[in-house]
Amino acid sequence: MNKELVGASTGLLVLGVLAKSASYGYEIVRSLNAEAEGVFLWQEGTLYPVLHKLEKAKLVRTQWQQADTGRRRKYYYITAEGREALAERTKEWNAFSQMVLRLGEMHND
Amino acid sequence: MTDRLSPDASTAVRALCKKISVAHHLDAEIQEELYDHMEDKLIAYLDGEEALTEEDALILVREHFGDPAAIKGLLQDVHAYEADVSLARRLAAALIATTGISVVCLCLASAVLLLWPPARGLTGFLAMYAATGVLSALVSWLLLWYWQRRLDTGHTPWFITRRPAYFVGSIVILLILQSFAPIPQPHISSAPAALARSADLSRLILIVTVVSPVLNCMAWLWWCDRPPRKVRAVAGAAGLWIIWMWLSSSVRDIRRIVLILYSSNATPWPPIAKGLGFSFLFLVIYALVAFAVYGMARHAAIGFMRWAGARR
Repeated sequence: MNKELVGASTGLLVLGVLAKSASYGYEIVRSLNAEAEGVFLWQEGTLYPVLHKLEKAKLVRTQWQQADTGRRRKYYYITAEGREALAERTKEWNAFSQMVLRLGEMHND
Repeated sequence: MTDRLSPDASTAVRALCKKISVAHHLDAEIQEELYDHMEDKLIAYLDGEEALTEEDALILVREHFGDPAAIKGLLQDVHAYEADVSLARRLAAALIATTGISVVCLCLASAVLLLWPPARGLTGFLAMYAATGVLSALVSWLLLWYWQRRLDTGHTPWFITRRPAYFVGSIVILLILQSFAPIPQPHISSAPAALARSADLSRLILIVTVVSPVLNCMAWLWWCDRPPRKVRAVAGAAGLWIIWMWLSSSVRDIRRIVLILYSSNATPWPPIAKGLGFSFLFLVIYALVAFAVYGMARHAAIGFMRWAGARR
């Protein structure tokens, strides 16, 4: 998949994963890759700049706690603002993708 | 399930994390987070929880197989260069390249002197002199480098496929062309006096006179110094370079001697022969200098590569 397309929606994808449940870096990547079903493969190191950007924007908050594996991990929780942003961006994305689909269909006709 | 990484693996991962430095007051926490991620990933691989993709497997194959450039070098040390290009073909190619470029440079320099009057002065002539000397040596080197690059990338340059008769024919033609190629002549009568007055100009001429043949000879040495590296290949290249340079620079004088010997004109020819002897002696000195400089440069390059490899 086009990297620019994925790059433009990374924040939305991460918020989507965190909206389901709080998670830490490695687990977030696994969830994203599982959801992607091979459409794209996340370059793992690039997740952290996205996570830290979301944290600075107060769309997520963090807390060090013990993971299921027994090891201490930094968990990311989506905040109320994060949920609002997710809803808003999903709406924008839907509108945008509808437009792309319409134009694509027109072109194919 | 693997609980913790071995101390060695843990140290290696920590070293990797340390390479990602953001800001002094943030680094500890960020690196801890990155370390955790890498630890999870490594443990998941070891436990088989994380499936290997084709891309992952390729990375592993590359890492286990070793650096392709290093392996190439080792293989080239084992297999004789005869399997690639014989020394004779390399020498013939170098000979054609050097002479061809020299003819072109001589013709160009003469054309510039003829068509552009300002170049006929002493400064212009010196520029021409430098151009035909140093530039032709550098262009020869560039051409040989290009051919080597073509060989390295699996191409088949012309000198691999041509028959020996082609080389002989080309060399003879180039030799004849060179003997008739116009030699740039400045239209100045005061050149010797000007040179005597200016130490800088004399020094410049001396430098160009020495540097250009040394550079040219070094190009030949580099071109023929191929794995498995043998001193006799390099010495052979230096020897042929001396003979060829002497022959190509003396071809006009030799022609004059032959004409004198077969004519009724009693012009004395020994001074010309003496000049030929001196030019041969100088070529031997240039080749020795090139040999020494090339040896030192090669030694330094190998030392640098070892140092860079150790750092990596």
